[in-house]
Amino acid sequence: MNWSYLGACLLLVGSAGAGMCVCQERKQRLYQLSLFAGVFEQIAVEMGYSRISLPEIFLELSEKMDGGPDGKLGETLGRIGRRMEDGRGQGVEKLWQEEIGAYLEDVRIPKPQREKILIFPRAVWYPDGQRQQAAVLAFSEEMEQAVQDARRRRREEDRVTMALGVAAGCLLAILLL
Amino acid sequence: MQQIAEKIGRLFPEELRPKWERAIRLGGRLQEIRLRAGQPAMLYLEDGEWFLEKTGDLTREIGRADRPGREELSAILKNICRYSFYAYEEEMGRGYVTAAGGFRIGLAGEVVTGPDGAIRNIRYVSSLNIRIAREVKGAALGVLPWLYRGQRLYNTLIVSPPGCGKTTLLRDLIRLVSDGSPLAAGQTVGVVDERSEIAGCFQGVPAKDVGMRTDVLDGCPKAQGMMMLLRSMAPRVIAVDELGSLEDIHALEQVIGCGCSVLATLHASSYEEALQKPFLESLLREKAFGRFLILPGKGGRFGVGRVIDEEGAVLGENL
Repeated sequence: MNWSYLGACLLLVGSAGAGMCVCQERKQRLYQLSLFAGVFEQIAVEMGYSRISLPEIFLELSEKMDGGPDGKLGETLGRIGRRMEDGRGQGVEKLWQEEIGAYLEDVRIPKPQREKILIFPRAVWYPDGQRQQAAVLAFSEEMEQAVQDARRRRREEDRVTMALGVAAGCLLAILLL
Repeated sequence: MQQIAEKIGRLFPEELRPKWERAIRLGGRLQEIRLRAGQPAMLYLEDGEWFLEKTGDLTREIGRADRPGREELSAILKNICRYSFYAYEEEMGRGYVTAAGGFRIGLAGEVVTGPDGAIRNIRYVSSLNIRIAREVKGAALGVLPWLYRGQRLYNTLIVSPPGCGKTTLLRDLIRLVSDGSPLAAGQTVGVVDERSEIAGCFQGVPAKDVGMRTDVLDGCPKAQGMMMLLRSMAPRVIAVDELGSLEDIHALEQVIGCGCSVLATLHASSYEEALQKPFLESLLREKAFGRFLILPGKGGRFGVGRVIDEEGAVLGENL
């Protein structure tokens, strides 16, 4: 009888833990979205004010992010910058697809934002600095909007997930007992 | 040669390199590459004009010439600008961009003007003129003995039509004056490189050897640049390319008045034509230039045709 209670408790804890994992994953997704929003904003600022070229911006961002929690994305941007400068003449679209595409494989970002991130190099063609800055800022704003929406939904979704997790645990525990 | 070929190669994006490989390997023999949307791709070598075939071979037959489209020009320009047109906005507004390696790429297409009528940019680029900057070290050695009075450099004006080596000669003179030579110790030289042709600066650093005592103001209007250098860098010699306005001459007069020597170039087909330039009148009247270096026109060998003093006397020929 005691073992059954213990099993029921473990079931409850396990299902609550599973719910928490789902919530954690949602949090990570949110973090990645805001990370990209920040990166696009930084890129836009450098384009508008310091007017340094794209590979230099990538290298500078990589240096800033080095060692921090965003290190992996920083490394990826650094690799794109270095490959753009290695003299082989590889275009930013190809490099971005390869490097950021591989990065996105390992992180969870909703499909519409993932696709938006991947087409970023297509937005870099304006000869006018202000227009260029505005075009990149639009990427940042879109990511930021997705973050806001997800944040608004998150509280409710987290509550539902946890409730469902605990309820499922309870149901299984009752069945077990 | 290998090094310059490598630098030329970097101008082209990966996907176009196989086609351009043979042309790239010509290295320093290439003087100019002219690309116009829908027109034959032209290359200028010492022996004249050639066309590029689709296979990458060079031909004189126009019928076999490759005709790159606007997309190809755009791909080359994107690569040259490192996919960052916005970073070249000012340069493009002046009608050119400077690539890594110090090559100047002239642009033509639809010009965008601002509300004040000033040129802001060029969109729909339809022509590229890639000028392969030559660096002929020692080119000025032959004329150097004519240019010094003791340790002091004469104010010198290099005169020739376009494309005959004025800038190449000026660059080597700057290097020799800056580094020093058996004739004189090295002197501080200030260069106002309005079109990035003398030092071929890329991100502010000279790609060409302009000497160890040389300070370069890159992309700066000549008249303002000369005054800036006078105030900030205390040069003994100031060098500028292609005098062309009264404003330049007024600045030059101040430079000379401050005791600096001047090295300058001028577009003119002959010494006689140079004397007729109205904006030069005051300087010529004051005999401000102690030496004129007259370069032979196109087709002649690279070198100085005549060295002329302030009185018009020929001091040396075919140097």
